[in-house]
Amino acid sequence: MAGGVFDVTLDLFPGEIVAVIGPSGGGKSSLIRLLAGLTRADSGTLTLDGRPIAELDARDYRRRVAMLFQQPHMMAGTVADNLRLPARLRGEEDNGLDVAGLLRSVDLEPELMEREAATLSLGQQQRVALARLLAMAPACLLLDEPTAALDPVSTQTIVRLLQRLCDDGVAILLVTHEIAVARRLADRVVVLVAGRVVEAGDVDQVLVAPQSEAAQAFLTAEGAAP
Amino acid sequence: MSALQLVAAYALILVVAGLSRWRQVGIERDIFYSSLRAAVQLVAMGYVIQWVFDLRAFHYLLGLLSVMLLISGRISAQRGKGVTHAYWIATAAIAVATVGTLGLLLALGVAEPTGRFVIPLGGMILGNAMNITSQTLNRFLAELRARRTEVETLFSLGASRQQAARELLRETVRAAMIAPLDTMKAVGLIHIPGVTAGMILAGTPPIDAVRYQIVIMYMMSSAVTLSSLTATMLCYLQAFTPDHRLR
Repeated sequence: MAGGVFDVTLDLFPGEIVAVIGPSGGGKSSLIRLLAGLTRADSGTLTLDGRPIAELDARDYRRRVAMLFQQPHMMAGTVADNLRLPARLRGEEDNGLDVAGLLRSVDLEPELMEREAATLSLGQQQRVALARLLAMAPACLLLDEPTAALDPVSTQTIVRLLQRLCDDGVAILLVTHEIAVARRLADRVVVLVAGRVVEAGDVDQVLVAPQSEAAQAFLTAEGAAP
Repeated sequence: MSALQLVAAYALILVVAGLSRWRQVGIERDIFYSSLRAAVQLVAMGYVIQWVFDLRAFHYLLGLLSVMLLISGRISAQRGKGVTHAYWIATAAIAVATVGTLGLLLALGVAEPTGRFVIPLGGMILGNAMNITSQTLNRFLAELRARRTEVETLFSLGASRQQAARELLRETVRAAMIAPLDTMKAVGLIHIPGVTAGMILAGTPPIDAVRYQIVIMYMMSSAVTLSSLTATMLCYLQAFTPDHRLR
């Protein structure tokens, strides 16, 4: 398909969390960038609600399938400015966005809304970045190593927030090299090695009793398989 | 000026090359070869211009300007290694600046369509447009690298390519234009610009020389701005796809 990802078949349904795990350079990042519409597949079809995404407007697609990056990037301005950004990019100046409610939904104090976004801690920035995506009410969230840059407390918070979002019916695809995070969060796991899916299934089945040699080798190396 | 005086001027180059060697700066070879190269190029230019003046036909002037344009595009593109089609972008940007400003001067009758006007003015425009285009390409690449996460974050929030690129493009042009704008602010206060200096040395009354300088300064400012904006716009179209992605 693109950037070293080949022959990947993957379904994602509302209210479930799928974790993509695998060794570095295995194509996890390429896959998630492809799904986010940041790169284009050379061949193959990506569909959303059964429609090929090539037929959809790229901007509409990205609002429905939103991506959270490993390193949060705060735009210049206050936290509230950042949360209002998706609406502003759509050309709506003030759409009565509930900034305080959004901040509470990611366990942040509403008082933070007037703070310069860049002065927040990394963990807070990542939660503001998540709230900024939620302002678009996406149907699907793509997360690229969302906790890799965070301390354990912030990681806990993000994990809890993702579980809550999933309960609200958001479909979540998570790329991670942390098997513990996959184990805690995911309903299903996909193991990606050298750009191919070598194993896919329920989290318990894949992490405890992987069938393929490649998945066994990866999980053993990570100390996760028996 | 006698040949002996010309050679004596070269002593200055030898002094700075000596200083470079003494302080182990390591640029003495560069200074030496560049100075020889410059002398050869200038002498050759003198003969070529004399030859072109003797031809007295406008299409020869156009031909010579085109050759100069292609060379300046090639030199400028080297600063933009990493930008796809850097050569065409640089050449187009310099061409827009040259055709725009020189064309206007000819149309208004400020310059005559003769070698005596077209070649020196065209050369000045090409040189300045080339420098600013190099700066622009170089800056665009640096901004694109530094702002990749910002751009992709904006895309992920539903930004169009215009919205995602806005800050990057603004910063590219702003940074590339710092030097020419500062030059314009300092002109007459800090330095006597080349045309005025040359004309005064050649015996023109200072007020007449200054009048030419003003026209040329405005022409240069327009040329560098045009080339920087054109190069930035072409880089943008090259790097950002119509379906709102980075290429």
